[in-house]
Amino acid sequence: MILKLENISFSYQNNHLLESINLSISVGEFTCLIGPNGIGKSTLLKLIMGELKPDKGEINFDSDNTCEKLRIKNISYLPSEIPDPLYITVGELVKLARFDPDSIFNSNLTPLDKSVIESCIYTCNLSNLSNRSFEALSSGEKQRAWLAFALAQDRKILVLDESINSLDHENTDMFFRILKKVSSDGKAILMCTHNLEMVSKYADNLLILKDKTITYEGPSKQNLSQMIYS
Amino acid sequence: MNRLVFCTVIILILTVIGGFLGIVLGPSKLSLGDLLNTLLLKSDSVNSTIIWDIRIPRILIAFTVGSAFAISGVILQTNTRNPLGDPQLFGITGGALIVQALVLSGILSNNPWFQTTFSVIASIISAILIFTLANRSNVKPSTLALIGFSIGAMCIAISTGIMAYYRVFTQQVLSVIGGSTSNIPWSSYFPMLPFMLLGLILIFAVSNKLNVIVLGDVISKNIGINSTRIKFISMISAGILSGAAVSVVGTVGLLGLMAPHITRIIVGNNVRLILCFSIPIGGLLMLYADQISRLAFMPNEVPVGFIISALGAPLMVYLAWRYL
Repeated sequence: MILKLENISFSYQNNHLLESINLSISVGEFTCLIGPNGIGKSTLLKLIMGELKPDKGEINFDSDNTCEKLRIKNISYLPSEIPDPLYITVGELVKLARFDPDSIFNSNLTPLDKSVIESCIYTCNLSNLSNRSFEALSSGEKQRAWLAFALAQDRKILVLDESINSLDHENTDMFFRILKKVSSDGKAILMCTHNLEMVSKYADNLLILKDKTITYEGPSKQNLSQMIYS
Repeated sequence: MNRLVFCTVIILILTVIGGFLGIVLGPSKLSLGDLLNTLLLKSDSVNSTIIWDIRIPRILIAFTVGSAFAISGVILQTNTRNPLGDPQLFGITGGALIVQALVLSGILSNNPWFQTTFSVIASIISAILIFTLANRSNVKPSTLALIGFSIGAMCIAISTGIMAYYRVFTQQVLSVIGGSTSNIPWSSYFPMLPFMLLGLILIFAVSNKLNVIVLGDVISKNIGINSTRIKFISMISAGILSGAAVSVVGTVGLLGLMAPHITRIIVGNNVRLILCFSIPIGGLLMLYADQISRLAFMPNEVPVGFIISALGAPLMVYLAWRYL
Protein backbone atom coordinates (compact mmCIF):
# COMPACT_ATOMS: atom_id res chain seq x y z
CA MET A 1 0.00 0.00 0.00
CA ILE A 2 1.65 3.20 -1.12
CA LEU A 3 -1.08 5.77 -0.66
CA LYS A 4 -3.79 5.62 1.96
CA LEU A 5 -6.57 8.07 2.71
CA GLU A 6 -8.09 7.80 6.15
CA ASN A 7 -11.35 9.36 7.16
CA ILE A 8 -11.01 12.32 4.77
CA SER A 9 -13.76 14.95 4.82
CA PHE A 10 -13.96 18.05 2.73
CA SER A 11 -16.53 20.79 2.43
CA TYR A 12 -16.72 23.62 -0.05
CA GLN A 13 -18.64 26.77 0.88
CA ASN A 14 -20.37 24.97 3.75
CA ASN A 15 -21.37 22.13 1.42
CA HIS A 16 -20.22 18.76 2.61
CA LEU A 17 -18.78 17.34 -0.57
CA LEU A 18 -16.81 14.39 0.75
CA GLU A 19 -17.34 12.61 4.05
CA SER A 20 -15.15 10.02 5.76
CA ILE A 21 -13.38 8.80 2.66
CA ASN A 22 -11.18 5.76 3.13
CA LEU A 23 -9.20 4.33 0.28
CA SER A 24 -5.82 2.95 -0.57
CA ILE A 25 -3.88 2.32 -3.72
CA SER A 26 -0.99 -0.05 -4.24
CA VAL A 27 2.01 -0.42 -6.49
CA GLY A 28 1.36 -2.60 -9.50
CA GLU A 29 -2.33 -1.85 -9.52
CA PHE A 30 -4.43 0.16 -11.90
CA THR A 31 -7.16 1.74 -9.78
CA CYS A 32 -10.09 3.55 -11.32
CA LEU A 33 -12.30 6.00 -9.50
CA ILE A 34 -15.78 6.23 -10.94
CA GLY A 35 -18.99 7.97 -10.01
CA PRO A 36 -21.61 10.37 -11.34
CA ASN A 37 -20.70 13.86 -12.59
CA GLY A 38 -20.08 16.52 -9.99
CA ILE A 39 -19.82 14.04 -7.15
CA GLY A 40 -16.32 15.23 -6.19
CA LYS A 41 -13.95 12.86 -7.98
CA SER A 42 -11.70 15.67 -9.20
CA THR A 43 -11.86 17.24 -5.75
CA LEU A 44 -10.66 14.01 -4.21
CA LEU A 45 -7.69 13.96 -6.58
CA LYS A 46 -6.92 17.59 -5.73
CA LEU A 47 -6.90 16.68 -2.05
CA ILE A 48 -4.39 13.94 -2.79
CA MET A 49 -2.27 16.44 -4.74
CA GLY A 50 -2.34 18.98 -1.92
CA GLU A 51 -4.15 21.53 -4.07
CA LEU A 52 -6.99 21.48 -1.55
CA LYS A 53 -6.76 20.78 2.17
CA PRO A 54 -9.10 18.29 3.81
CA ASP A 55 -11.19 19.46 6.77
CA LYS A 56 -10.17 16.36 8.63
CA GLY A 57 -8.52 13.04 8.04
CA GLU A 58 -5.08 11.94 6.98
CA ILE A 59 -3.38 11.15 3.72
CA ASN A 60 -0.51 8.76 4.24
CA PHE A 61 2.18 8.12 1.73
CA ASP A 62 4.40 5.03 1.99
CA SER A 63 2.95 3.52 5.20
CA ASP A 64 2.99 6.31 7.75
CA ASN A 65 4.66 9.28 6.19
CA THR A 66 2.31 12.25 6.34
CA CYS A 67 4.70 14.83 4.92
CA GLU A 68 2.77 16.49 2.10
CA LYS A 69 5.82 17.68 0.17
CA LEU A 70 7.33 14.21 0.06
CA ARG A 71 4.01 12.75 -1.10
CA ILE A 72 3.61 15.27 -3.91
CA LYS A 73 7.19 14.69 -5.03
CA ASN A 74 6.29 11.06 -5.58
CA ILE A 75 3.13 11.59 -7.60
CA SER A 76 2.80 12.56 -11.24
CA TYR A 77 -0.44 14.38 -11.76
CA LEU A 78 -2.39 15.07 -14.92
CA PRO A 79 -5.43 17.27 -14.20
CA SER A 80 -8.52 17.07 -16.37
CA GLU A 81 -8.07 20.11 -18.53
CA ILE A 82 -4.48 21.06 -19.18
CA PRO A 83 -4.24 24.11 -21.42
CA ASP A 84 -2.24 23.35 -24.56
CA PRO A 85 1.32 24.61 -24.27
CA LEU A 86 2.42 26.92 -27.07
CA TYR A 87 5.51 26.41 -29.16
CA ILE A 88 6.75 23.08 -27.93
CA THR A 89 7.34 19.75 -29.61
CA VAL A 90 6.34 16.40 -28.15
CA GLY A 91 10.00 15.55 -27.51
CA GLU A 92 10.62 18.87 -25.77
CA LEU A 93 7.52 18.40 -23.64
CA VAL A 94 8.59 14.98 -22.43
CA LYS A 95 12.12 16.26 -21.80
CA LEU A 96 10.76 18.84 -19.38
CA ALA A 97 9.58 15.97 -17.18
CA ARG A 98 13.23 15.45 -16.27
CA PHE A 99 13.72 19.10 -15.40
CA ASP A 100 15.55 19.60 -12.13
CA PRO A 101 13.75 22.41 -10.28
CA ASP A 102 16.81 23.12 -8.14
CA SER A 103 19.09 23.83 -11.05
CA ILE A 104 19.62 27.45 -11.99
CA PHE A 105 21.78 27.16 -15.04
CA ASN A 106 22.51 23.57 -15.88
CA SER A 107 19.71 21.92 -17.78
CA ASN A 108 21.67 19.15 -19.44
CA LEU A 109 20.15 15.72 -19.32
CA THR A 110 22.03 12.65 -18.14
CA PRO A 111 22.14 9.52 -20.33
CA LEU A 112 19.68 7.96 -17.88
CA ASP A 113 17.28 10.87 -18.39
CA LYS A 114 17.56 10.48 -22.14
CA SER A 115 16.84 6.77 -22.09
CA VAL A 116 13.84 7.26 -19.79
CA ILE A 117 12.48 9.95 -22.11
CA GLU A 118 12.94 7.79 -25.15
CA SER A 119 11.31 4.75 -23.62
CA CYS A 120 8.31 6.77 -22.40
CA ILE A 121 7.83 8.24 -25.85
CA TYR A 122 7.98 4.73 -27.24
CA THR A 123 5.58 3.33 -24.64
CA CYS A 124 3.03 5.96 -25.54
CA ASN A 125 3.26 5.30 -29.29
CA LEU A 126 4.72 8.70 -30.05
CA SER A 127 8.08 7.75 -31.52
CA ASN A 128 7.32 9.14 -34.95
CA LEU A 129 5.75 12.29 -33.53
CA SER A 130 8.49 13.48 -31.23
CA ASN A 131 9.46 16.39 -33.48
CA ARG A 132 5.86 17.36 -34.09
CA SER A 133 4.56 20.58 -32.55
CA PHE A 134 2.16 19.88 -29.69
CA GLU A 135 -0.54 22.09 -31.18
CA ALA A 136 -0.55 19.99 -34.34
CA LEU A 137 -1.49 16.78 -32.51
CA SER A 138 -4.90 15.15 -32.43
CA SER A 139 -6.61 15.02 -29.05
CA GLY A 140 -5.70 11.37 -28.57
CA GLU A 141 -2.06 12.15 -29.31
CA LYS A 142 -2.11 15.14 -26.97
CA GLN A 143 -3.38 12.95 -24.19
CA ARG A 144 -0.67 10.38 -24.84
CA ALA A 145 1.95 13.14 -24.98
CA TRP A 146 0.93 14.25 -21.48
CA LEU A 147 0.97 10.63 -20.37
CA ALA A 148 4.50 10.23 -21.74
CA PHE A 149 5.42 13.38 -19.84
CA ALA A 150 3.98 12.02 -16.60
CA LEU A 151 5.67 8.64 -17.08
CA ALA A 152 9.01 10.29 -17.79
CA GLN A 153 8.85 11.91 -14.37
CA ASP A 154 9.31 8.33 -13.17
CA ARG A 155 7.44 8.73 -9.90
CA LYS A 156 5.90 5.96 -7.88
CA ILE A 157 2.30 7.08 -8.26
CA LEU A 158 0.43 8.37 -11.26
CA VAL A 159 -2.79 10.29 -10.68
CA LEU A 160 -4.92 11.10 -13.72
CA ASP A 161 -8.12 13.05 -13.94
CA GLU A 162 -9.82 11.93 -17.13
CA SER A 163 -13.32 12.84 -16.01
CA ILE A 164 -13.87 15.28 -18.86
CA ASN A 165 -11.72 14.16 -21.76
CA SER A 166 -13.48 12.04 -24.28
CA LEU A 167 -11.83 10.22 -27.13
CA ASP A 168 -12.94 7.74 -29.73
CA HIS A 169 -12.95 4.06 -28.87
CA GLU A 170 -9.63 3.20 -30.46
CA ASN A 171 -7.69 6.01 -28.77
CA THR A 172 -9.32 5.34 -25.41
CA ASP A 173 -8.48 1.68 -25.63
CA MET A 174 -4.85 2.46 -26.48
CA PHE A 175 -4.68 4.88 -23.55
CA PHE A 176 -6.02 2.33 -21.08
CA ARG A 177 -3.79 -0.39 -22.50
CA ILE A 178 -0.73 1.76 -21.89
CA LEU A 179 -1.84 2.52 -18.34
CA LYS A 180 -2.45 -1.15 -17.66
CA LYS A 181 1.02 -2.03 -18.87
CA VAL A 182 2.65 0.76 -16.91
CA SER A 183 0.92 -0.27 -13.70
CA SER A 184 1.88 -3.89 -14.06
CA ASP A 185 5.46 -2.73 -14.62
CA GLY A 186 5.41 -1.41 -11.07
CA LYS A 187 3.54 1.84 -10.72
CA ALA A 188 0.50 2.74 -8.71
CA ILE A 189 -2.11 4.38 -10.90
CA LEU A 190 -5.21 6.19 -9.75
CA MET A 191 -7.45 7.54 -12.44
CA CYS A 192 -10.93 8.95 -12.41
CA THR A 193 -12.94 8.33 -15.53
CA HIS A 194 -16.43 7.84 -16.90
CA ASN A 195 -15.58 5.09 -19.32
CA LEU A 196 -17.12 2.07 -17.63
CA GLU A 197 -16.45 -0.27 -20.53
CA MET A 198 -12.72 0.34 -20.31
CA VAL A 199 -12.79 0.20 -16.53
CA SER A 200 -14.31 -3.25 -16.50
CA LYS A 201 -11.86 -4.33 -19.20
CA TYR A 202 -8.62 -3.00 -17.73
CA ALA A 203 -8.88 -1.84 -14.11
CA ASP A 204 -7.41 -4.02 -11.37
CA ASN A 205 -9.11 -2.16 -8.64
CA LEU A 206 -12.26 -0.13 -8.51
CA LEU A 207 -13.43 2.74 -6.33
CA ILE A 208 -16.98 4.02 -6.57
CA LEU A 209 -17.65 7.48 -5.21
CA LYS A 210 -21.32 8.00 -4.42
CA ASP A 211 -23.29 9.88 -1.79
CA LYS A 212 -20.19 11.76 -0.59
CA THR A 213 -18.19 8.67 0.17
CA ILE A 214 -16.58 5.57 -1.29
CA THR A 215 -19.34 3.00 -1.55
CA TYR A 216 -17.32 0.25 -3.16
CA GLU A 217 -13.67 -0.64 -3.04
CA GLY A 218 -12.56 -3.85 -4.61
CA PRO A 219 -11.92 -5.72 -7.81
CA SER A 220 -13.49 -4.54 -11.02
CA LYS A 221 -16.91 -5.91 -11.91
CA GLN A 222 -19.24 -6.24 -14.84
CA ASN A 223 -22.45 -4.48 -13.84
CA LEU A 224 -20.82 -1.15 -13.06
CA SER A 225 -23.51 1.23 -14.22
CA GLN A 226 -26.01 -0.42 -11.88
CA MET A 227 -23.65 0.02 -8.96
CA ILE A 228 -23.18 3.70 -9.73
CA TYR A 229 -26.60 4.89 -10.71
CA SER A 230 -28.93 2.73 -8.63
CA MET B 1 24.72 23.47 -32.18
CA ASN B 2 26.31 24.28 -35.54
CA ARG B 3 23.20 26.17 -36.41
CA LEU B 4 23.64 28.38 -33.36
CA VAL B 5 27.29 29.03 -34.14
CA PHE B 6 26.28 29.95 -37.67
CA CYS B 7 23.60 32.32 -36.36
CA THR B 8 26.08 33.91 -33.99
CA VAL B 9 28.53 34.55 -36.83
CA ILE B 10 25.82 36.07 -39.02
CA ILE B 11 24.66 38.25 -36.13
CA LEU B 12 28.20 39.49 -35.50
CA ILE B 13 28.71 40.31 -39.19
CA LEU B 14 25.37 42.13 -39.38
CA THR B 15 26.21 44.06 -36.22
CA VAL B 16 29.54 45.21 -37.64
CA ILE B 17 27.95 46.23 -40.95
CA GLY B 18 25.06 48.00 -39.20
CA GLY B 19 27.44 49.84 -36.90
CA PHE B 20 29.64 50.83 -39.83
CA LEU B 21 26.67 52.17 -41.80
CA GLY B 22 25.56 54.09 -38.75
CA ILE B 23 28.92 55.75 -38.32
CA VAL B 24 29.87 56.44 -41.95
CA LEU B 25 26.64 57.38 -43.68
CA GLY B 26 24.54 60.40 -42.91
CA PRO B 27 23.61 63.90 -43.98
CA SER B 28 27.17 65.14 -43.43
CA LYS B 29 29.44 63.27 -45.82
CA LEU B 30 32.48 61.81 -44.14
CA SER B 31 35.27 60.15 -46.08
CA LEU B 32 36.93 57.06 -44.71
CA GLY B 33 39.96 59.21 -44.04
CA ASP B 34 37.92 61.66 -41.97
CA LEU B 35 36.47 58.75 -40.10
CA LEU B 36 39.81 57.19 -39.23
CA ASN B 37 41.20 60.58 -38.29
CA THR B 38 38.34 61.25 -35.95
CA LEU B 39 38.23 57.80 -34.40
CA LEU B 40 41.95 57.48 -33.90
CA LEU B 41 43.28 61.00 -33.51
CA LYS B 42 40.25 63.08 -32.56
CA SER B 43 41.57 65.76 -34.88
CA ASP B 44 38.66 67.71 -36.34
CA SER B 45 36.18 68.96 -33.79
CA VAL B 46 33.08 69.11 -36.05
CA ASN B 47 33.57 65.58 -37.32
CA SER B 48 34.37 64.47 -33.82
CA THR B 49 31.07 65.84 -32.57
CA ILE B 50 29.18 64.21 -35.43
CA ILE B 51 30.70 60.83 -34.79
CA TRP B 52 31.12 60.71 -31.04
CA ASP B 53 28.08 62.67 -29.93
CA ILE B 54 25.54 61.98 -32.67
CA ARG B 55 26.16 58.80 -34.60
CA ILE B 56 27.76 56.46 -32.07
CA PRO B 57 25.26 57.09 -29.27
CA ARG B 58 22.47 56.67 -31.80
CA ILE B 59 23.76 53.24 -32.82
CA LEU B 60 24.06 52.13 -29.22
CA ILE B 61 20.65 53.50 -28.33
CA ALA B 62 18.95 51.75 -31.24
CA PHE B 63 20.58 48.44 -30.39
CA THR B 64 19.96 48.59 -26.64
CA VAL B 65 16.36 49.70 -26.97
CA GLY B 66 15.66 47.03 -29.60
CA SER B 67 17.03 44.36 -27.26
CA ALA B 68 14.96 45.64 -24.35
CA PHE B 69 11.70 45.53 -26.32
CA ALA B 70 12.55 42.10 -27.73
CA ILE B 71 13.20 40.57 -24.31
CA SER B 72 10.02 42.10 -22.91
CA GLY B 73 8.15 40.53 -25.80
CA VAL B 74 9.66 37.10 -25.10
CA ILE B 75 8.70 37.40 -21.45
CA LEU B 76 5.12 38.40 -22.23
CA GLN B 77 4.64 35.67 -24.82
CA THR B 78 5.97 33.06 -22.43
CA ASN B 79 4.17 34.27 -19.32
CA THR B 80 0.77 34.83 -20.83
CA ARG B 81 1.05 31.83 -23.17
CA ASN B 82 -0.05 34.13 -25.93
CA PRO B 83 1.61 34.64 -29.31
CA LEU B 84 0.38 38.24 -29.19
CA GLY B 85 2.56 39.02 -26.16
CA ASP B 86 4.12 42.43 -26.67
CA PRO B 87 4.92 45.15 -24.13
CA GLN B 88 2.94 47.69 -26.09
CA LEU B 89 -0.05 45.49 -26.96
CA PHE B 90 -0.33 44.40 -23.34
CA GLY B 91 -0.27 47.98 -22.10
CA ILE B 92 2.99 47.73 -20.17
CA THR B 93 4.58 50.68 -21.97
CA GLY B 94 1.43 52.76 -21.45
CA GLY B 95 2.46 54.07 -18.04
CA ALA B 96 5.91 55.00 -19.27
CA LEU B 97 4.36 56.78 -22.25
CA ILE B 98 2.27 58.96 -19.93
CA VAL B 99 5.45 59.79 -18.01
CA GLN B 100 7.08 60.91 -21.31
CA ALA B 101 4.07 63.07 -22.08
CA LEU B 102 4.26 64.68 -18.64
CA VAL B 103 7.97 65.35 -19.10
CA LEU B 104 7.52 66.93 -22.54
CA SER B 105 4.65 69.01 -21.19
CA GLY B 106 6.93 70.36 -18.50
CA ILE B 107 4.97 68.86 -15.61
CA LEU B 108 7.66 66.37 -14.58
CA SER B 109 11.35 67.16 -14.41
CA ASN B 110 13.25 66.46 -17.61
CA ASN B 111 16.31 65.30 -15.71
CA PRO B 112 17.15 62.05 -17.55
CA TRP B 113 17.66 60.06 -14.36
CA PHE B 114 14.29 61.15 -12.97
CA GLN B 115 12.65 60.57 -16.30
CA THR B 116 13.97 57.04 -16.67
CA THR B 117 13.23 56.14 -13.06
CA PHE B 118 9.64 57.39 -13.29
CA SER B 119 9.15 55.53 -16.58
CA VAL B 120 10.45 52.32 -15.09
CA ILE B 121 8.23 52.69 -12.03
CA ALA B 122 5.18 53.35 -14.23
CA SER B 123 5.98 50.31 -16.35
CA ILE B 124 6.49 48.08 -13.33
CA ILE B 125 3.07 49.15 -12.05
CA SER B 126 1.50 48.22 -15.40
CA ALA B 127 3.42 44.94 -15.42
CA ILE B 128 2.19 44.05 -11.93
CA LEU B 129 -1.35 44.85 -13.03
CA ILE B 130 -1.06 42.49 -16.00
CA PHE B 131 0.56 39.88 -13.77
CA THR B 132 -2.27 40.09 -11.26
CA LEU B 133 -4.90 39.72 -13.97
CA ALA B 134 -3.05 36.91 -15.73
CA ASN B 135 -2.54 35.04 -12.49
CA ARG B 136 -6.22 34.62 -11.75
CA SER B 137 -6.88 31.03 -12.58
CA ASN B 138 -9.60 31.32 -15.19
CA VAL B 139 -8.38 34.23 -17.30
CA LYS B 140 -8.07 33.24 -20.92
CA PRO B 141 -5.04 34.49 -22.87
CA SER B 142 -7.38 36.31 -25.26
CA THR B 143 -9.14 38.09 -22.38
CA LEU B 144 -5.80 39.27 -21.11
CA ALA B 145 -4.86 40.56 -24.56
CA LEU B 146 -8.14 42.46 -24.74
CA ILE B 147 -7.52 44.03 -21.32
CA GLY B 148 -3.91 44.92 -22.16
CA PHE B 149 -4.87 46.31 -25.53
CA SER B 150 -7.54 48.51 -23.96
CA ILE B 151 -5.21 49.78 -21.25
CA GLY B 152 -2.59 50.51 -23.92
CA ALA B 153 -5.05 52.43 -26.08
CA MET B 154 -6.19 54.42 -23.07
CA CYS B 155 -2.61 55.34 -22.15
CA ILE B 156 -1.85 56.49 -25.70
CA ALA B 157 -5.00 58.61 -25.64
CA ILE B 158 -4.14 60.12 -22.25
CA SER B 159 -0.55 60.92 -23.21
CA THR B 160 -1.53 62.37 -26.58
CA GLY B 161 -4.20 64.39 -24.81
CA ILE B 162 -1.73 65.75 -22.27
CA MET B 163 0.70 66.72 -25.02
CA ALA B 164 -2.07 68.34 -27.06
CA TYR B 165 -3.31 70.31 -24.06
CA TYR B 166 0.17 71.62 -23.26
CA ARG B 167 0.86 72.36 -26.94
CA VAL B 168 3.93 70.16 -27.23
CA PHE B 169 5.52 70.44 -30.69
CA THR B 170 4.11 67.96 -33.19
CA GLN B 171 7.57 66.69 -34.00
CA GLN B 172 8.16 65.79 -30.35
CA VAL B 173 4.75 64.14 -30.06
CA LEU B 174 5.48 62.01 -33.12
CA SER B 175 8.88 61.09 -31.70
CA VAL B 176 7.35 59.79 -28.48
CA ILE B 177 4.36 58.03 -30.04
CA GLY B 178 6.28 56.72 -33.03
CA GLY B 179 9.58 56.06 -31.32
CA SER B 180 12.60 58.04 -32.39
CA THR B 181 16.33 57.64 -31.85
CA SER B 182 17.35 60.96 -33.32
CA ASN B 183 19.19 63.65 -31.36
CA ILE B 184 19.38 61.77 -28.11
CA PRO B 185 22.40 62.82 -26.05
CA TRP B 186 24.58 60.45 -24.06
CA SER B 187 23.08 61.88 -20.88
CA SER B 188 19.66 60.48 -21.80
CA TYR B 189 21.12 57.11 -22.71
CA PHE B 190 23.21 56.43 -19.60
CA PRO B 191 20.31 56.21 -17.09
CA MET B 192 18.86 53.35 -19.13
CA LEU B 193 21.91 51.15 -18.66
CA PRO B 194 21.68 50.24 -14.95
CA PHE B 195 17.98 49.43 -15.40
CA MET B 196 18.78 47.35 -18.46
CA LEU B 197 21.36 45.45 -16.43
CA LEU B 198 18.93 44.91 -13.56
CA GLY B 199 16.23 43.64 -15.94
CA LEU B 200 18.67 41.23 -17.59
CA ILE B 201 19.91 39.88 -14.26
CA LEU B 202 16.35 39.26 -13.09
CA ILE B 203 15.25 37.49 -16.25
CA PHE B 204 18.34 35.35 -16.66
CA ALA B 205 18.12 34.30 -13.02
CA VAL B 206 14.78 32.63 -13.81
CA SER B 207 15.32 31.92 -17.50
CA ASN B 208 15.85 28.20 -17.04
CA LYS B 209 12.49 27.83 -15.32
CA LEU B 210 10.58 29.82 -17.92
CA ASN B 211 10.61 26.70 -20.09
CA VAL B 212 8.50 24.92 -17.49
CA ILE B 213 6.06 27.82 -17.04
CA VAL B 214 4.86 27.11 -20.57
CA LEU B 215 3.25 23.91 -19.24
CA GLY B 216 0.87 25.80 -16.96
CA ASP B 217 0.63 26.27 -13.21
CA VAL B 218 -0.54 22.82 -12.14
CA ILE B 219 2.11 20.93 -14.10
CA SER B 220 4.80 23.43 -13.04
CA LYS B 221 3.87 22.87 -9.43
CA ASN B 222 4.00 19.12 -9.93
CA ILE B 223 7.52 19.43 -11.34
CA GLY B 224 8.41 21.43 -8.24
CA ILE B 225 8.41 24.98 -9.55
CA ASN B 226 6.56 27.91 -8.06
CA SER B 227 5.29 29.37 -11.31
CA THR B 228 3.75 32.41 -9.63
CA ARG B 229 7.13 33.55 -8.36
CA ILE B 230 8.85 32.98 -11.69
CA LYS B 231 6.11 34.88 -13.52
CA PHE B 232 6.23 37.74 -11.04
CA ILE B 233 10.01 38.14 -11.34
CA SER B 234 9.94 37.96 -15.12
CA MET B 235 7.06 40.44 -15.42
CA ILE B 236 8.95 42.89 -13.21
CA SER B 237 11.90 42.42 -15.54
CA ALA B 238 9.70 43.12 -18.59
CA GLY B 239 8.44 46.26 -16.86
CA ILE B 240 11.93 47.50 -16.08
CA LEU B 241 13.27 46.82 -19.57
CA SER B 242 10.40 48.28 -21.55
CA GLY B 243 10.00 51.25 -19.21
CA ALA B 244 13.68 52.12 -19.53
CA ALA B 245 13.49 51.77 -23.32
CA VAL B 246 10.41 53.97 -23.61
CA SER B 247 12.05 56.68 -21.53
CA VAL B 248 14.80 56.97 -24.16
CA VAL B 249 12.98 56.56 -27.50
CA GLY B 250 9.23 56.52 -26.82
CA THR B 251 7.12 53.56 -27.89
CA VAL B 252 8.11 51.33 -30.78
CA GLY B 253 5.26 49.22 -32.06
CA LEU B 254 5.56 45.67 -33.35
CA LEU B 255 9.22 45.19 -32.39
CA GLY B 256 8.44 43.39 -29.13
CA LEU B 257 6.02 41.18 -31.01
CA MET B 258 8.17 40.51 -34.06
CA ALA B 259 11.61 39.92 -32.55
CA PRO B 260 10.60 36.94 -30.35
CA HIS B 261 8.85 35.22 -33.26
CA ILE B 262 11.80 35.71 -35.60
CA THR B 263 14.13 34.44 -32.88
CA ARG B 264 11.97 31.39 -32.23
CA ILE B 265 11.94 30.52 -35.91
CA ILE B 266 15.74 30.71 -35.96
CA VAL B 267 16.76 29.06 -32.68
CA GLY B 268 13.81 26.83 -31.76
CA ASN B 269 11.56 26.65 -28.72
CA ASN B 270 13.98 26.76 -25.80
CA VAL B 271 13.02 29.91 -23.91
CA ARG B 272 16.50 30.58 -22.59
CA LEU B 273 18.00 30.40 -26.07
CA ILE B 274 15.22 32.66 -27.35
CA LEU B 275 16.05 35.16 -24.61
CA CYS B 276 19.76 35.11 -25.45
CA PHE B 277 19.27 35.49 -29.18
CA SER B 278 16.43 37.98 -28.98
CA ILE B 279 18.94 40.46 -27.55
CA PRO B 280 20.99 40.81 -30.77
CA ILE B 281 18.02 40.11 -33.05
CA GLY B 282 15.88 42.82 -31.45
CA GLY B 283 18.91 45.10 -31.44
CA LEU B 284 19.68 44.48 -35.11
CA LEU B 285 16.08 44.95 -36.24
CA MET B 286 16.06 48.31 -34.51
CA LEU B 287 19.54 49.24 -35.73
CA TYR B 288 18.75 48.56 -39.39
CA ALA B 289 15.32 50.16 -39.18
CA ASP B 290 17.05 53.18 -37.73
CA GLN B 291 19.48 53.33 -40.66
CA ILE B 292 16.50 53.36 -43.01
CA SER B 293 14.75 56.02 -40.94
CA ARG B 294 17.74 58.38 -41.11
CA LEU B 295 19.15 57.57 -44.56
CA ALA B 296 16.18 56.84 -46.80
CA PHE B 297 14.66 60.30 -46.61
CA MET B 298 17.80 62.42 -46.11
CA PRO B 299 18.00 65.13 -44.94
CA ASN B 300 14.58 64.54 -43.40
CA GLU B 301 13.82 61.74 -40.96
CA VAL B 302 10.90 59.52 -40.13
CA PRO B 303 10.66 58.21 -36.54
CA VAL B 304 12.17 54.72 -36.47
CA GLY B 305 9.04 53.23 -34.90
CA PHE B 306 7.10 53.98 -38.05
CA ILE B 307 9.75 52.25 -40.16
CA ILE B 308 9.64 49.20 -37.89
CA SER B 309 5.88 49.00 -38.19
CA ALA B 310 5.73 49.76 -41.91
CA LEU B 311 8.41 47.24 -42.89
CA GLY B 312 7.83 44.84 -40.01
CA ALA B 313 4.15 44.35 -40.72
CA PRO B 314 4.61 42.64 -44.12
CA LEU B 315 7.43 40.55 -42.65
CA MET B 316 5.24 39.57 -39.72
CA VAL B 317 2.37 38.70 -42.05
CA TYR B 318 4.70 36.48 -44.05
CA LEU B 319 6.12 34.77 -40.96
CA ALA B 320 2.67 34.22 -39.46
CA TRP B 321 1.49 32.78 -42.76
CA ARG B 322 4.52 30.57 -43.24
CA TYR B 323 5.54 29.41 -39.77
CA LEU B 324 3.19 30.20 -36.93
